[in-house]
Amino acid sequence: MKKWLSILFVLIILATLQLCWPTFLNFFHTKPDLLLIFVVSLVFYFDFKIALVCAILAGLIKDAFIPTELAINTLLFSLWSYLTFRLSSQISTENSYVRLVIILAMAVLNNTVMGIYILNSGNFIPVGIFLRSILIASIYTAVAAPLIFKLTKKIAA
Amino acid sequence: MVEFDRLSNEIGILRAKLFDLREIEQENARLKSLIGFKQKSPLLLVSARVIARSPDSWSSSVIIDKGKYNGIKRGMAVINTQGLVGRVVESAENISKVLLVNDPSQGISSIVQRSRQEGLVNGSLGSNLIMRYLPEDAQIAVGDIIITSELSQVYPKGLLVGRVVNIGKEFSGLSRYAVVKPSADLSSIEEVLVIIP
Repeated sequence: MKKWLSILFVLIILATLQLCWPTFLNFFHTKPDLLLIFVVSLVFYFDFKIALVCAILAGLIKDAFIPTELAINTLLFSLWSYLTFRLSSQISTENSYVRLVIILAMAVLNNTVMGIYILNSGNFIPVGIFLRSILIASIYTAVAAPLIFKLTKKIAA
Repeated sequence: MVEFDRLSNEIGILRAKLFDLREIEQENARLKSLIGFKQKSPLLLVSARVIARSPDSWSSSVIIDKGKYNGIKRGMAVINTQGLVGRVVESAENISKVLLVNDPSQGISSIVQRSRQEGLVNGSLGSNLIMRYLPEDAQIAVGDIIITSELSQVYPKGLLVGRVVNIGKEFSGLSRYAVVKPSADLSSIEEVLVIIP
């Protein structure tokens, strides 16, 4: 029960931080996806069921604040959580560099799917901005990941 | 030594107070200009504060602290003292979601103020907007002012959108496009005005 409360508390803090991210911390107009990092890091430190429930919750929170009709983040976060779980059963994810690479891969996948979804909706995005939102945002997410990993590890301990 | 510590502590407190005062002074200036604009404008306006921003890099939106309780409904145009900011896409009791003009799903029917040339202004997630569907012989030049047209179903006619900073040819070669710098600084908006039709 205490763990659940801690996870929910961190989820709310991260969602608030994501929504009120200071402009001076933006890197090339991008910000890290803190909720995605938390969702993936939960798979490394907690039971998959807990991670999946949190992925759905995080996705719902994110979807509530973006102007898309479909609950795309709820679907994607659940999928990334499941893929990370499958991957961690195939390879060792104890090494922090491996975890960073997984976060980077998930961020690239998430941003690519989001970008394609937006383009598919008939919207126009210049190539430079499209690539920036995929690559730089994903790298920034991976760079910010160790801080969230530490936080998740503390909750799990 | 004790006196030194006490004075250092006092300096710290005074610095923090000075910082707060500067912040209040800036806010005061912004609100004064907002009130002045509201009083002079013939439009019925509701002022609101930006409380959150879009959580991802794929959309450009903000959350404001006014909602249905203050008469704000979906589809209403949002401006600030500098120009057009966006439109309300969702409104709850006390908050509303505003889609900014630089969101890629935005399409604003606009005209060049000087030549009355029509075009569609789209967001591009970047700091500039793109005015598309301009004919090959369009009467448009760098520096021209872009305003909303009366064809727009959402925005009232004549709202300042921005200024042309570049003109180019579409990939197909059939039409031209113009890069428009929005008049409102979208990256740092703190207070906005919602137009009540």
